Amino acid sequence: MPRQSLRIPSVCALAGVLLLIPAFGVAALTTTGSLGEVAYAVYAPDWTWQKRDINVLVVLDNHGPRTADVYVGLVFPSRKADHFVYSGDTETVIQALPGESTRYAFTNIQARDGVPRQIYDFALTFSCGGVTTRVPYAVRTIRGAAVNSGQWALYVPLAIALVWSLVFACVLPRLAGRGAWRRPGEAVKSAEDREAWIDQTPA
Amino acid sequence: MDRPDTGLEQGAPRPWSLRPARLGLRTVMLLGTGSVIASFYIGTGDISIGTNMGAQFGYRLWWTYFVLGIAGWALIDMSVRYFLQFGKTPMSMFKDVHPVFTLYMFLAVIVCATFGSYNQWAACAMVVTGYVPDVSIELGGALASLCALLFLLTGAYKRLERVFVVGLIALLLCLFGSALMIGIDWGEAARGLVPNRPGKGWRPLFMSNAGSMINAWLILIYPYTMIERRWFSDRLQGKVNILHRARIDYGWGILAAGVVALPLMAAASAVARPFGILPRSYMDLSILLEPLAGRWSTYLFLGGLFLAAWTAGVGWWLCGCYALLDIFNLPIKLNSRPMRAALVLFFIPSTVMLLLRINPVYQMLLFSAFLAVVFPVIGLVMLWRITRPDMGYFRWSPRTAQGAVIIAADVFAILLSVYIGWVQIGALFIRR
Repeated sequence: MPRQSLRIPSVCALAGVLLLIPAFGVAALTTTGSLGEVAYAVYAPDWTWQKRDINVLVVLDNHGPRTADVYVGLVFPSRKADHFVYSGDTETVIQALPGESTRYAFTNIQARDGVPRQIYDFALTFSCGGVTTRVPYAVRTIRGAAVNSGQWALYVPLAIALVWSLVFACVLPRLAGRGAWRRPGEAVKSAEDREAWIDQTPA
Repeated sequence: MDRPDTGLEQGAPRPWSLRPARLGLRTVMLLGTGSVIASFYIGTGDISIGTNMGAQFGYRLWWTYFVLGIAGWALIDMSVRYFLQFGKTPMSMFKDVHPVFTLYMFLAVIVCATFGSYNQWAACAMVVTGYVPDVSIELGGALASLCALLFLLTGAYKRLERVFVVGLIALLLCLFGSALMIGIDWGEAARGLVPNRPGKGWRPLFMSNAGSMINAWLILIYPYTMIERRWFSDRLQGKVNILHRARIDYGWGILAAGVVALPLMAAASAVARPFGILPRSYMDLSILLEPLAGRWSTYLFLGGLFLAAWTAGVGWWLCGCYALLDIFNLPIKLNSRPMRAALVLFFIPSTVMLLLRINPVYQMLLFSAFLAVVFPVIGLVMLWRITRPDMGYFRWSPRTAQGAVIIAADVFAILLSVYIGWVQIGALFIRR
């Protein structure tokens, strides 16, 4: 068999694709700001499927010499809070230690289905040492799974595949010999132009 | 009295007594088929399970990849030994037993390849939608699967191997690059290699990983790649050499799955575990990487995910088509008309299923459990076949150390797969 090599053009093409990736921004909220000596950053996806969870991550960096108590609140869109399922706290006070980075997350905020898909205006409020700021956070919902999670996520695709197997059963036998599916295939013959190492006998 | 058929000529060497020819470094480094095998293992299943393990238990379940890898290796080895002894393709084993097994395999192949590939296209679509939100999941997935179809329709086997080698190296670079930006706790990772039970919830993950690593009929693929490469010999020494070379090859493929799990566990352990987040969305997980490791970490993670999913999707189709060609005694050849017909037939349902929009992370955990249910039948048929006396030089024989190790590995693999299948049947169809 001829020697295989990783050809330069394919490596270059791959490198080119990888270098192109940062040209697109990953769809997400990334906001940074500061409350006096405490810098904050918020990371969260800006779209979600209905019936799926989103998580909002808050990172606080205290550049000051003293511990700072930072109030962080998650504000749901007005009159639409019931479009989401969330059982955690919507506000908390985080102790940001001097010179350290502290993370906090509002987790498992699930968008309900059965409501029109839309853009929701969430917000995060930060308060520290008398300084308050509000970070708007828009989340777009898109259509979620057509079947409920759980076993239906297995059974529905399974049923589609089983039904489709009838199509395979109609097409493939036409290309094969009669009753081929029941007969074991012919044995493979040794190739004439096989690679040298195959028949080498150890010294 | 008739002498029983042992598949051996009189005066032939004792089983497992021949030494294989030494392989040069260059031969060992040609990891083409190994990379194709790796692509089956490194897909959304590996990523979903690895990230969930990392989010719940850190590195502590890393050992499962290697224990299950031994079983996966032994199962591939059985199909290769059968092929080398008789020159017959894997489906002949099932036809030898009873046609009902051929029907079972026919349905299992179609269901698994359709299901498995659909999951990969859905994962590709999530990455595409993450970058360009206006591209719908259906369109993103359809584009990914269309690229795969065109690639396979126009491709030759050797080119496919080259692409997979490049893809595997790239995805390893992407995922390790992403994880190294966060920092891998090497000490914890080393401790994760020691088998342990880290707490409640580890068993379902282990079962899903078994479905992913033992991987149902995918373990039968290797002989097809050998036919494409013309790795067959009528001479016993040639067979021994091929087996030796092939073992390195699929050993590398399985090892790659375990290696790739490390950066996934590292990422999930760092970003999801502190908050009790169970990763159910690749996008969410990748975004959480950014504050810890910077924007490039997110890009690399998504790039690695896309490569893993796309190559695994191609792998599922390829395996499905080879197995179907084998069932109908059609030529095992990538650039043949029946192969093209089968590829198009797989493209249609796996793309239509994108309309269901089932989350691939969630579905892969379920599907892996389903695979674990499908497999024991295949494993038992293989065990029956390779323990028959006509296996000749490659038969079970405890007289040499290699023969004894092979018996132990085969028994371990079958017992493990039967046990996992039994537990999963209860979990999927009885207790729920």
